[in-house]
Amino acid sequence: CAAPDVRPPDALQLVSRAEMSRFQLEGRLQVRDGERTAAVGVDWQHEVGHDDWLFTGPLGQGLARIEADAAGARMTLADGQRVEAASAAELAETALGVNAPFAQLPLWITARLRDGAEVRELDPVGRLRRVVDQGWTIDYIEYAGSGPADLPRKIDVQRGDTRLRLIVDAWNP
Amino acid sequence: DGLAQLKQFMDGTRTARGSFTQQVFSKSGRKPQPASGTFAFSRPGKFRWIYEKPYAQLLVGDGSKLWAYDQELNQVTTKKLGQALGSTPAAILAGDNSLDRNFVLKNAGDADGLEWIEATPKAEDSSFERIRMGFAGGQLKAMLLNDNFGQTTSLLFGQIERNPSLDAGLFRFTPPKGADVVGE
Repeated sequence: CAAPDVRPPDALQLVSRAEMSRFQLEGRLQVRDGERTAAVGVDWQHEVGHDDWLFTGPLGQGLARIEADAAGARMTLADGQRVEAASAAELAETALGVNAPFAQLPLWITARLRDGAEVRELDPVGRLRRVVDQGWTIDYIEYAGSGPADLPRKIDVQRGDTRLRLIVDAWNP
Repeated sequence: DGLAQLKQFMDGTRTARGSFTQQVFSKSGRKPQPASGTFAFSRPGKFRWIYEKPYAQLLVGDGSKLWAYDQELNQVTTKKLGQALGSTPAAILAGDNSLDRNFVLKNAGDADGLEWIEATPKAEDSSFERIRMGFAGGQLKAMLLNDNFGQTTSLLFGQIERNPSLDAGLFRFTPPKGADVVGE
């Protein structure tokens, strides 16, 4: 795991770990924005500067694949149709019909703090429990294990009437 | 051959129940995540597919709609069966006898002690590109589903009980109070 860089000590003895350079997870994503809701399985491969999302249906079948990097984002749908846009979030909105903060998810789901994010609550083991980041409230509902370095298993993210829930069924190295 | 066993299975099986294990092999070749559970079907169009692992999920086909209920998310996704059933494993298990209305069927030889058939969905926008079914002794033993993204879902069936009497309530679904309902 990446070596933690210790921030200048402040009120909270906070160790903010460096961004995880790469991870892969399988789980379920539910997004609600006002009246619409979307729910898909996700198979997500993240590297610094590159994301590969596969949205899957109830039987594990692929529905849409989104690849995003500095140059932009490209989506392939089940019927082979290809769509391009500036960001994964834009394409996900086309695929899922709801707008969700995909850009910030890599740091949120690995319990890393973005610059300017405020820690509101830590859990007894010293892990993040609630963070506020540019108006988004991120609640760390569950972790994958009981250790201080364990990764989240379930997060709830909310701002205004957009609510996103991501459940990680498997973290793969 | 495979097609003869398919016909024997379809003609001789109006209802069935059993257990299954499932693995989805992704293109990246990563270790697949195993899933398992039980299923029941009553043809035409009715099925109940319960995933116990990796998480609790219930799929019910009530003859006109597919209901997918994720307990932890407390969410129900629903779709008209016509579209959803057209090319999913449930379609084959619970479809009416005219399987060849939705699929091009052909023999696909023997492998792993089973006689296989290959079903290619006729509908363009189907969830799966190709489905293979493996039979032994007129019993359906396995299904392999290739989706449009290079993933293969493998379903292995445990002992299948053929033509048990099944309670009709198994194939009805009402969203629990407070659950999010997504879809038509």
